[in-house]
Amino acid sequence: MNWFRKFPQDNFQVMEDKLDGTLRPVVPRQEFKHNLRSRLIAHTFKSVPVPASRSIDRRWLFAGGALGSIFVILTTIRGILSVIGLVGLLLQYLDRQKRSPVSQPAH
Amino acid sequence: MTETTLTPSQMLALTELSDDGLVELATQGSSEAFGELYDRYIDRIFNYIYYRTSNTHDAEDLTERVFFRAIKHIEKYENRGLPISAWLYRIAHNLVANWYRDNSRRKEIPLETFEFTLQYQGEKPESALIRTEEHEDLLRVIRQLPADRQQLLILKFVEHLTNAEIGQIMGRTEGAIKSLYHRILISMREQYQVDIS
Repeated sequence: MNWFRKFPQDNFQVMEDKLDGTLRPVVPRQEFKHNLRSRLIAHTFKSVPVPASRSIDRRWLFAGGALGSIFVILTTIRGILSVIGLVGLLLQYLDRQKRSPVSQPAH
Repeated sequence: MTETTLTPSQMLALTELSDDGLVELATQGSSEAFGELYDRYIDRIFNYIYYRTSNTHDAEDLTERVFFRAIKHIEKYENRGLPISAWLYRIAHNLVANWYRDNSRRKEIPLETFEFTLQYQGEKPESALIRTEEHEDLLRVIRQLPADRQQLLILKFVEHLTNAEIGQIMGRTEGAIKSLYHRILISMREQYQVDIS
């Protein structure tokens, strides 16, 4: 950086002049500017808030969904418990079959 | 955002409105008023981001994000006596900070030199090249400064804003800006001394 040697150590003016010469405004591409502007304007048209009636409909939809989910979960739990109970009864029956002597016909 | 349609005469009057007037209309949903604000500040915001990010592609990308964020939140904008530019620069500042955080590996990307080559078309190629190298050296030093110092230099030398205006944008007093600027010059001088040694 030979250029730094050119600065007198106590002279800020030289540095300010260099900063002024270096930090020059740049111009964005016209195409970029126009394109972005039109997209911004289009964006405002898209962002129309949802009407109140539709918001209410959505709320009902969420409530229905939540209730339906709860129903499905409870039914699944009940189903699992029923299967466990059935397996328990089956095991109990098999156990009883093993313990009890084979019945002989009376003659 | 609900759309407020303006008559042709109102649209013509937009260009004569103050920033505050435009902001008021924009907060009520006028896309034309926001468009006028965009026209007034697009170059400045782009310049700020360009000098912070060092390349046109990211500058365009972040400038786009600034204005999309602005249009998204303009309805909630509260005028606290600060210029709208302060708000836009604040958004730009935050997005650039996020960009640096997410892309820390890109910090050393050299600043494109196309504008400098265009700028010195009238000079002899050798002297133009020396000047370009000088600028690149200085830009390298500037990019090593903390974000607030870079911001001050960009606002002062690219935007040619006064200390009072810079203070409004950066949320500091005019005296604090003057003091910070002085410290920047001192630290840059020290930086040169380090480089020389």
